[in-house]
Amino acid sequence: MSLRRVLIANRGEIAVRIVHACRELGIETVLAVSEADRDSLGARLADRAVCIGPPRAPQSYLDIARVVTAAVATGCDALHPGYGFLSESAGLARACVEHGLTFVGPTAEHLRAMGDKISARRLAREAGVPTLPGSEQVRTPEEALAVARGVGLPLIVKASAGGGGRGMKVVFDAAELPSVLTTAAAEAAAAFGDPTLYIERFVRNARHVEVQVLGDRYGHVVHLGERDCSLQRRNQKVVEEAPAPALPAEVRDAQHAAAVRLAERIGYESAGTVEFVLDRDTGEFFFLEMNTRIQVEHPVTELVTGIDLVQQQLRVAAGEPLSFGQADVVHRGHAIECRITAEVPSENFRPDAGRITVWEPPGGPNVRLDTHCLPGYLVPVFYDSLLAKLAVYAPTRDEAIARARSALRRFGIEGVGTTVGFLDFLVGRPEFADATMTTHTIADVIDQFAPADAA
Amino acid sequence: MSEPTRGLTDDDVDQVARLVESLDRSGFDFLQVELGDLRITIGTGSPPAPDVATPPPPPPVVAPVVAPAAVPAPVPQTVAPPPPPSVNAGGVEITAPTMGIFYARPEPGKPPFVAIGDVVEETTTVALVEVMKTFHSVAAGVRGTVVEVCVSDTDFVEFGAVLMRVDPA
Repeated sequence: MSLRRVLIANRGEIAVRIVHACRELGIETVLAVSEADRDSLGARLADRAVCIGPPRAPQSYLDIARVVTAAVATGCDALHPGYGFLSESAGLARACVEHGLTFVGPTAEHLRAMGDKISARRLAREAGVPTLPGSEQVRTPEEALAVARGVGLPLIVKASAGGGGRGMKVVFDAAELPSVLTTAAAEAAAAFGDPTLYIERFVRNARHVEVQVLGDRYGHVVHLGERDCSLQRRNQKVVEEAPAPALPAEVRDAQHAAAVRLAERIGYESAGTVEFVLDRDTGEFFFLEMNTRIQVEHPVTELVTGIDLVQQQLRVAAGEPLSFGQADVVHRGHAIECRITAEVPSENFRPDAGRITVWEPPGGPNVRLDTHCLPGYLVPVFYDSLLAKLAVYAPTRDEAIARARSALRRFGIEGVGTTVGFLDFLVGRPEFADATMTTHTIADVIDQFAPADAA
Repeated sequence: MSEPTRGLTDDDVDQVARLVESLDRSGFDFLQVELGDLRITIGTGSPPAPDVATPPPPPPVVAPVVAPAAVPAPVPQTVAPPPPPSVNAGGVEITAPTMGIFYARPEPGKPPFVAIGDVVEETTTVALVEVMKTFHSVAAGVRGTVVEVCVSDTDFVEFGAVLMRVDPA
């Protein structure tokens, strides 16, 4: 391993995760922290923590100049951006190169090409990956109406600079289209600094299935199978699993091949995820976007393949070729991940910051917890509400579901409201048990959740 | 070691009167004199902010609710009072407004912005902190005398690191 010291430009559970990966590879870690995270678990576990700014992310975790300066000043030779924050910033990747740092991720050009969702669609098409009927940039209501006639209704208006479920509006009636276009452009400009919009057909009954890929700089690309992330609330993933259940073998194989084709075509390097929407009514699948970073839900893939994705990112960044080929990737058993957030389900999922007074996670074999929380930890108000990812493994999906429910019920958390009970409700739903869930299942069943019963 | 508090003598009153006259002529708004325990501030309008930040008022004492005997009393959460703003025994702290590289001098070879013993105003630039070729000037933020420079030229400083201490005037 040629990397000696890595700056981790992130926080929370993923910062802890990256520290562990580095430790196993004998790499020193420096964690860039905001003032709110000085005493975090990650800061304690890292070899060193440097305070780069005040709690608000624009002056700390989102400031390219500060994280790069921190890396250079502390003698790091590489920088791992985690997920979220600057992880898909081509500007950060470029700044790293300019300052002699290895960016643990793909190239700035990959980040730029896939960050622009219109460009990503184009690349997918060129690679022979099916894309949804839709448009290039849409500028006027007339253009949008012409597109609507072509692709049919309902359709979805998306921000080209969006992604990750943000900056999207579904349109069921063509008469709404002009006003949706205006508000969507304004919102995209405000949220992403770019009002560019495009249109795609909207799939009513959709599964979200994504394929994990891994590439090195010598043109080798392998896939590590797929994940189903259909259980989403407001376009945000809540429960993920690997492999995707009840997927016809030819669809699974076609998705794997499409993902590898796209990654190979662009010479993709590092871990990446090609996301697809799978139409339950027709069985077709279409490219959604490619995420050019480690994903929140990567543990389920690690559990069923035994491959440490963060370590692979570090190895590839260090210039090592992949040490295994496609035939060496073996998938065994089933894994389910539940995202435990500090939100109050009974109060419309209001985020709940505060001090965790009791933190008693479940244990036992094949129960993995990725977290930065400890008893007494103060959940800050400045960041997202993810507290922990509970991932379980079992030989079969039914056993994995049972293990997930048991582990959730043994999880004792007090001091802040959490989604533990809601997650138990979700993985216990018949739609999940018989693998008929869609991306609107949570919205369909959420009213049936009675928090008191779950406690 | 201070003298016991005393009243003003006639001499004192005369001296104060002379101070008022000289202040009138000087063009300054305020004059402050300290002699042992005696501190006199003379001037027009509302007085200037005190040089040394007064310690914060003690946290409000909330009478503990006496729980019925059967119910265990809640463990009182001790909330540490916030530290007084940037003041300690060593003077007022000037802290880094950003993480970056500390520069004590405007450019290599030039004398430092300030040295120990220098008198600074609130707006005096005392250092630069660089983040990737962007230079942030650090203002003293306090009037007084520099008593300590805590970091060396070109050191890496974290956000909030103490750069200097100033004995307030």
